[in-house]
Amino acid sequence: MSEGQEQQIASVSSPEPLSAELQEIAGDLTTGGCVRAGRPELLTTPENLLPLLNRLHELPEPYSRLTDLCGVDWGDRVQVVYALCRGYGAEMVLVKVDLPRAQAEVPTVTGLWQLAFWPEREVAEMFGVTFVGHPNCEHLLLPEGFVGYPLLKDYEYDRSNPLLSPDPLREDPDAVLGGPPSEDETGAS
Amino acid sequence: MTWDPTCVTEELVVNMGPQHPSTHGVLRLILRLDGERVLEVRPDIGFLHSSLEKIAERLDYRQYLPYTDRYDYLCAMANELAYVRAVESLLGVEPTPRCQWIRVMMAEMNRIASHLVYYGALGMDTGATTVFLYCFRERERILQLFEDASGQRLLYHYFRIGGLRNDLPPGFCEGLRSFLDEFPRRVAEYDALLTRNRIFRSRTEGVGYLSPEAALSYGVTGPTLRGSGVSYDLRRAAPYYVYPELEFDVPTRPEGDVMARHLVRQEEMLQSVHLLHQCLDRLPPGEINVKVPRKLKPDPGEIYVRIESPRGELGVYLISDGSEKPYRLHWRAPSFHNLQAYPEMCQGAYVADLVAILGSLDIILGDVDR
Amino acid sequence: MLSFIANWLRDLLTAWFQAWHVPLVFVDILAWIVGGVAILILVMVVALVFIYLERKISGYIQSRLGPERVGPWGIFQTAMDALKLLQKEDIVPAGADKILHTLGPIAFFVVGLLGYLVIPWEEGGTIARMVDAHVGVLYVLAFGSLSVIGILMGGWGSNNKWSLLGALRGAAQMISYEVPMLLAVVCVVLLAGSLSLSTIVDQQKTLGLLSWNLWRPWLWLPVILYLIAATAEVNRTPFDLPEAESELVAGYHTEYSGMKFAFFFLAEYGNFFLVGLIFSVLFLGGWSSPFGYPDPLRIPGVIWLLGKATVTVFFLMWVRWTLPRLRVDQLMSLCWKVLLPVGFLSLLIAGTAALYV
Repeated sequence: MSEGQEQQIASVSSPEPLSAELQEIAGDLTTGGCVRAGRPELLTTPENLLPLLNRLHELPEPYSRLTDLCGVDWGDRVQVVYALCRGYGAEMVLVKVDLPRAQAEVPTVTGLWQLAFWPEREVAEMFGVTFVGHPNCEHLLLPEGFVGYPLLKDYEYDRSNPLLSPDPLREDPDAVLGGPPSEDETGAS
Repeated sequence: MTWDPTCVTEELVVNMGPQHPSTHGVLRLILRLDGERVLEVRPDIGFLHSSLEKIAERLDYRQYLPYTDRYDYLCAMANELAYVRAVESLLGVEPTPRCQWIRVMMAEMNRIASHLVYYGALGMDTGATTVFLYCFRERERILQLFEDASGQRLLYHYFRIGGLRNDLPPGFCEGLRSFLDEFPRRVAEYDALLTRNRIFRSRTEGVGYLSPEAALSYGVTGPTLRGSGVSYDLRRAAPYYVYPELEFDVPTRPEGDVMARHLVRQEEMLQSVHLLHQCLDRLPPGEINVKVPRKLKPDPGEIYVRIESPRGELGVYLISDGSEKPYRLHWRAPSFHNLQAYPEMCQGAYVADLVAILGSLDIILGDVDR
Repeated sequence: MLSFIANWLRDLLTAWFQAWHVPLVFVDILAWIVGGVAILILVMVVALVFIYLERKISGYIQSRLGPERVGPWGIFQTAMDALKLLQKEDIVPAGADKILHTLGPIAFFVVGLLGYLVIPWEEGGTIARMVDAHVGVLYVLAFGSLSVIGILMGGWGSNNKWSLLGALRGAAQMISYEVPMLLAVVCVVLLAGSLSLSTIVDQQKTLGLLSWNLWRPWLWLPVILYLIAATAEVNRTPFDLPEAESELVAGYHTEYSGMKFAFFFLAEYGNFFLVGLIFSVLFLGGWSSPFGYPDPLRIPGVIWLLGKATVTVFFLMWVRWTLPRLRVDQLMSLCWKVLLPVGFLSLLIAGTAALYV
């Protein structure tokens, strides 16, 4: 139909280089970037995330609206993806931060956008990412005390430890319920 | 009698929900009340979490399609549209013109149906029960049409990757047209019964104010945003399918209160009628399906697709690793982000206002919790 | 007709008791018991009928059918519901005040019944002539305001925050709306010059329809005032805040089940019908025929009264299924800032009319 759409369909899986404008704005703060389906992507590091977002936020035509925030598990690393829009327009840029699984820490962006409060909590509980500076990073969708990070690829549903936190009843039913006495006790009596 | 400043009334902490008549599902609100005044609202969500994003990673692209219906069950067509569009974009498939027109038609019909539920539910929340049943009477006719087309009343599974389940059944267009001819009169009836009622107006005007700045910061979208005076509609801002060829208004209201959001939705129903008339007039003949391979294996890559669902900006972030199953699927749920702005709107509200404000957000808990 | 039956019964009993040498005091006592039971049955039946009617009328207003299955046109639906409630488990929540929780619905129900004692059912007085109703108006208003105690007991005794909120709303609302209602009634009393409900009816009977208080322009304000205030007194939409379903779950009766809930429910409809009765007595000529006095159609006065009350009740049902609910602050400002001044104004008008018309 429209021109943009055809372009989009043609190039979903074949990235193109970044535009000169974005390269100039963000080049020094990114570790890579491309344009996929007409939508720029910027890859950055946790240290450079806030400066980059601030810079995008302070352009003459700013990417002022965070619309989405989510996580992706790439095996050895976890990626947090920020979708920014140029005001209320069609233009969108994805900012991606790669975090090592071992130390997945990224500064919170709740200071910039109120929107980030809940999605950051969601990413934290689903991927095990720590958002440094988040005021209240409890479980959002999962029950309190849930163990594990379900959206990681290697998460295995463990029947012996399902939804709830280690429950004394499940850990050791005998200790709670009295159970059958152990052998030495029977021997002793 | 003298006023004793040390005399403080006791605050009351109340759980509203998860089982409560007007939380529109299993939402829990923790309220701190001073008499009837609300001091603090804390939404607690997750009761309807159904691991939708994880399920996608275990199923192939086609198998996942019915799950999209169940996610926001009041606008299943919009969810299907977003997902199907994302997968087709990954595959590099473009649906046929007739298919695109029918998809737009279905999405708009679904918008009317969804807004009707909203309309009735807001009436219910403010104590006017009758308008709820009137709205459901009209919604029933749309559901009947959906049933004729897809065999289902609520969870349609009508859009397929590369096309549709089947073409429109005979008599569908006539049925839709007769509905469209009658519907504006019905909306005028609701308007007289509910919107122009003095009590309803006093309950909604100036209640639940959301400023455009706060809306921007919270990422509020859809009619809730347009009620704050921002003219942002993805059908206009980033048009998809045949929307660029269609003529319609994006209704906005500057007030930012419950009434503004209500009026925006009411006007949107009429705009959808206008759109549907155009669709019926211009619906081209032809094929509805394009050939897609039996095994769907998109090339590795990713796509972020956004559409305007009845609740706002519905986004699908889909990553393919070249296998038959999506590598990662993320839903940008409009209700999730709209609900986050709820405490902001409830500042200084009464208990009764809470219910009206929540109704005006038009959240679906399936959409919030995913 | 009623007084005929009552007289006949009394004569019969007197004859029997004289034959058996029983002191005649017992005739009076027995008559009181019979009258009380008659009122109890009447209220029960009225409540059941009006719950059914409400469902049918709301169905009609909302373009649906209403109860259809139990009996022809579903007429036994409410009776079956009452039976079902009888069988249900009576749950007292943990931590509830058992005594108050039990007394709440009883108090509410009994107070609702008492109002019926002074209604002039037909010419010659009240049911079984039990209560000398020289101060009937005062009596009705006094007991009307007592029902708030039942609501408070139920709401406080349930140990539930929603119930408590509902009860507090109920107390605030019913006490506030007492005032405009009183002012409206006082206007009528001023013109009638009597606190007796029978006298008020007697003054409206001569020309039938034309002599109703409703047609006197200086009583139009009280008519509106009374309808609004009475709707608020019986907690119906747009004033159903104490039990606001969408806000407070079910308000003060959230924690009630089984027969206790049924008591609340029946008494609510009993009160509702009482409002219709009093409105008919005050403004629609009570038991008198609309076609003049004596009634050319020879229809018993009690039928006329019930008919007029039903019309009033229908009007209030219609209102209920049309309007949304007020908010609590709007409710209070409506009462104190609008209805109260209007009440005083109408008192002034009625007083002037009583002097000069």
